Amino acid sequence: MLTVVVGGRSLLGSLSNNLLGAVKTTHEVIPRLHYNSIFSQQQRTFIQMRTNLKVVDNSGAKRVMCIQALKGRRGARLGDTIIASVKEAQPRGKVKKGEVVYGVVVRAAMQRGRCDGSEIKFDDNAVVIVNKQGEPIGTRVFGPVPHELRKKKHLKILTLAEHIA
Amino acid sequence: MALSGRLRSSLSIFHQILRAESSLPLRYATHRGFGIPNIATSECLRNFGTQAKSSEANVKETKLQILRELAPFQNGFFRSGIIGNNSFCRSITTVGHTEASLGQDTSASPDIDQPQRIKFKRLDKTAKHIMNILDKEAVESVQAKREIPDLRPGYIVQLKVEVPENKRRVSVLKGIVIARRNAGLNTTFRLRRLVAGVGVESVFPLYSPNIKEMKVLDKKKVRRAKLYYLRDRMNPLKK
Repeated sequence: MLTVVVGGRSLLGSLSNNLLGAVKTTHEVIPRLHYNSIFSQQQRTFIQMRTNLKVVDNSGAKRVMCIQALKGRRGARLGDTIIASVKEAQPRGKVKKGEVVYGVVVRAAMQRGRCDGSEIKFDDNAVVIVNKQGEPIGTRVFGPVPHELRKKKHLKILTLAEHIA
Repeated sequence: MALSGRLRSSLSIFHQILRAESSLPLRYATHRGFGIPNIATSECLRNFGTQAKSSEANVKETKLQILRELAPFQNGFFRSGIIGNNSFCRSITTVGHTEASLGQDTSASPDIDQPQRIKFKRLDKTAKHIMNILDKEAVESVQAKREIPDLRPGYIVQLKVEVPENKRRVSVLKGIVIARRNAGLNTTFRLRRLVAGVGVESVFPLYSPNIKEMKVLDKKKVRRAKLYYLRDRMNPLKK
């Protein structure tokens, strides 16, 4: 049974069957039963293999696909680093299509709890391409970034950001 | 039936005394010998039942007798239960003889206690109720300290939040409340706002000490308690 994420943690986030549930939530065919209220809301989960992410810096890539989440058995969350493959790139940029790059997740659709009891959640999944040392390749970062990057020591991204959420 | 009524009244007064005094050794005594006062009070009540008296007088006597019962407990906390029993029983008999004189002494105090009777439930039922009481007390203490406006879905609010992530600066957040979840002290509300072109939703506990100030800017008319349909809308007016 899929649960609605209203304001707290959902227990299903930890079950492995949710890997499929996140994909097929909105397209379930339920005959004659009014499950609209439950299934119209998606259960957002981790960023894992095959997740498409938006790139929000000026490194040249447009979209990347995650191929590995470093740290986290179930996937990456807000503020984590991933290994990604560039799927779409601008013609003249620092990265080309098909390259394998590292990235830092700066916006995630899955809510991330903060130490004071509040939670934050963005509308999309976005990543900033970094090198192996954790420094961003691009020189500008678009959109808001969360405070969680400070704890993860991605201070350069924080200074480049135009807004800290 | 009348006897059970008197028993119940005496036990409620007993609990009032517990709450009024709230000293640790007294609590221990009551926990350890909780079964004993029940038997004792029933015995004493049986003694009193033989004499025809008004209900107030009975209440006074039972109260006095309970005080007398508690006194040996306080003294005999470190002794074994048997010794406590003996002194206890002894005290009952003495009280039973001199209750006539004692009945006239305290005529005022039980009358004050009478309107404040706390209903006595079974211990496990009382335990469930205690969490409710504690929760309400915590909410009231926060309400007294800070002025927290009523937040409903559809309100556009402006928050001044202090973020604990190494940042002492107070940030201003402005957005629309799309949901409110009531859970006593953990009442939370969801705020949706457009930040630099991206929609951001945050969940805040209503009574969080990090929220320095809350101001309601506007109230939109909505016909729903949870406005999750706004996620698809992305209206750039005020989110």
